[in-house]
Order: sequence, then C-alpha cells, then structure tokens
Amino acid sequence: MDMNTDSLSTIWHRQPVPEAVAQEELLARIARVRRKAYWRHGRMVLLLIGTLVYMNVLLSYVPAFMLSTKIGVALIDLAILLYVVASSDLIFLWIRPSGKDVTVSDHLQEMVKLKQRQQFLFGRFYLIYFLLLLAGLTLYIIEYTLRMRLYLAVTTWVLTGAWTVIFWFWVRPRQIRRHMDKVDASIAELRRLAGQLHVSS
Amino acid sequence: MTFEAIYREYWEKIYRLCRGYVGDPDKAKDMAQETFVIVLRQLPKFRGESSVGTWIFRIACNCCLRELEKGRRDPQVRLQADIADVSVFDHRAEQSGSDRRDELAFLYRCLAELPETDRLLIGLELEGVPQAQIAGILGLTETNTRVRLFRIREKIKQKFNGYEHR
Repeated sequence: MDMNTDSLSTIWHRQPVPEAVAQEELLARIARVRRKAYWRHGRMVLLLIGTLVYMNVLLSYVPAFMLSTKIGVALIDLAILLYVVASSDLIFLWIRPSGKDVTVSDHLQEMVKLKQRQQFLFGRFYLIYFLLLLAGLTLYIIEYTLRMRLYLAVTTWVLTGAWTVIFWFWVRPRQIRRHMDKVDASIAELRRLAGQLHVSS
Repeated sequence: MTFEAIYREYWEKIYRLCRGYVGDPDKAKDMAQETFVIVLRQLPKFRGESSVGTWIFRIACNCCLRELEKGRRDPQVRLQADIADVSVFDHRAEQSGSDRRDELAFLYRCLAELPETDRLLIGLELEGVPQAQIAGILGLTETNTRVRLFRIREKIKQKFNGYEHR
C-alpha cells in the first residue's frame, strides 16, 4: 500500500463514531457536576456550622468569664473556617484558569503556574490553620484548667501537648506530603506535555 | 453560530480526535462530551478572537491533555491493550472486512507509540485542519508544525511499510 496522507486520512475516517448524545444530556451532565461540587462544599459548610454550634452550646453550659477563652473560641472558629476554605477548592476560585481562548501551549504554561500557586497557598494556609488552632485551643483551656484540680489540669495540658506533637510531627507532614505529591505529579505531567510542544524541530 | 450547529458539525471530528488520542471508545466519547459541555458553557463568552473551529479544537486538545494530567489513566498503555481487544471495533468496521479493520488497528497502534502532542498534531491534520490553523491551535510556529507533521507522517509510513511486509 502506498501510504500517503490521503490513504492515512481514509483509514482515519473509518473510525466508528457513536451518535452524539442529546443536548439535554449535556445539560444534565453540567447539572451533575454542579451538584457534586455543591455537595462537596456543602458537607464542609455543614461541618463548620456543626462545630460552631457545638462550641457555642458548650460555652452556654459552661460559661466563660475570661477574655482568653472567648478569644480562643474565635481563633478555633477562624482555624476551622480556614481549613474549610483550604481543603475545598474555594481558595482556588480566584486563581483558576483565565478561561480565555489561548493556545494549547499557553494553556499548559498557565496550568503549571496555577498549580504552583495552589501548592504555595496550600502550604501557607495549612501553617496558619495549625497555628490558629493551637493558639485557640491553648487560650480556650486556660480558664477551664484553672478551675480544675491540679492532676486534672496537668492531664489536660499533657494531652493537649501530646496532641500538638502528634499533629505537628505526624499528621501535618503526612497531609502536606500527600497534597504536594499530587500537585507535584500534576506539574511534572504538565511540564512534560509542554516540553513536547517546545522541542525544537 | 448556534450550539446545535456547532455540535452537529464538530461532534464526529472531535470524537475521532479524542479516539485517536486515547484509544478507548468509551473514554473518547466521554472526552468528546466533556469538550462540548465546555463549549456549551463558554459559547456565550466566545468573542470570536479565533475561528470557531480553532476554538473548539483547542478545547478538545486541552481536554485530551488534561485527561493525562489528571492521572486517571495512561493512554499509551490503555491504547495498546485496546488494540489487542477486537471488541473495540464497531460493527461497520467488522463488516468492512478484516483488512480494513487491521489497518485501523494498526493506525491506532502507530498513534499509541507517538508522544501525546504528536497524536493531536496528526489527528488534527487527518481531520483536514490546515497546518496554519493547527499551529494556531497548539501554539507552534507554522514551520515547526510543518516539520513535525512531516516527521510524524514519515514515521507512520515506515511503520505501515513494515506492516505490509510482515
């Protein structure tokens, strides 16, 4: 067979093509994606509201007199809010692709930059989250430990310290590594594809 | 241009491009649908800075490349597996005789051995997209596009020659 572009094109056009789905199905697909996104964010928001309600109920049962306790609660609330934002895609809404009609090559470059910014932001957000949570928790338990008997107060501080150590040295690095590995793999893949386009002929 | 007209005109082209890229017919259908979902959503914002065809093919190419970036699959590996699976051919191809079917299977095999962006380059050309437009879609110079397409064609041609002499 004399394989020229025409004969290659003939073979190419022999590819079986299924019927296009109805436009309604495409719209349903958009709706499905939206519902999924709402549900994902919705769960986070519910978790946030649940925690806030729990802490406020706790405060009403065991009234706090010291300002440090109230500041502690506010800091914990802030930390939870930050966690919700960082763990969902909310912080990435303002650094998403421009949506402009750009070439594939530019799109790949744009995606690499975007992933790098996401990676940077995630690291910062996570650090701030942990510091806020730790500060909030410490301030929160000061008043209650002052009211406790010595051995209970010591136990509370020891447990809080242990939690801090476990979180800082075990949970935090694992979560950050998991996220970074994912983004690193993504960046490497995008760079590899961009590299294919920029290999000089 | 209305969405219906775009959908009618480009569905087959986009599907074939995706199929040539990814190999798996179900996945190709999914990716082609994803392309038109994006087209449907972005059409009101489309300013006509490029032609409709360029715009749609860019979206399709980005969908194809993102598929890989998402790490959901390795198209090259999957494509090889699909080639061995006769069930991927449709009835029309089966009825057209084994030679035609073999040629198409061999074309898929050749595509699977190409780097991802080369699969898109040759796919676009085989869809009849002019080289200047392909350059505009992928962000390459026209010279680069021409040279690369020549090399890809030569590569496939050589493989087909080897296939003929088996």
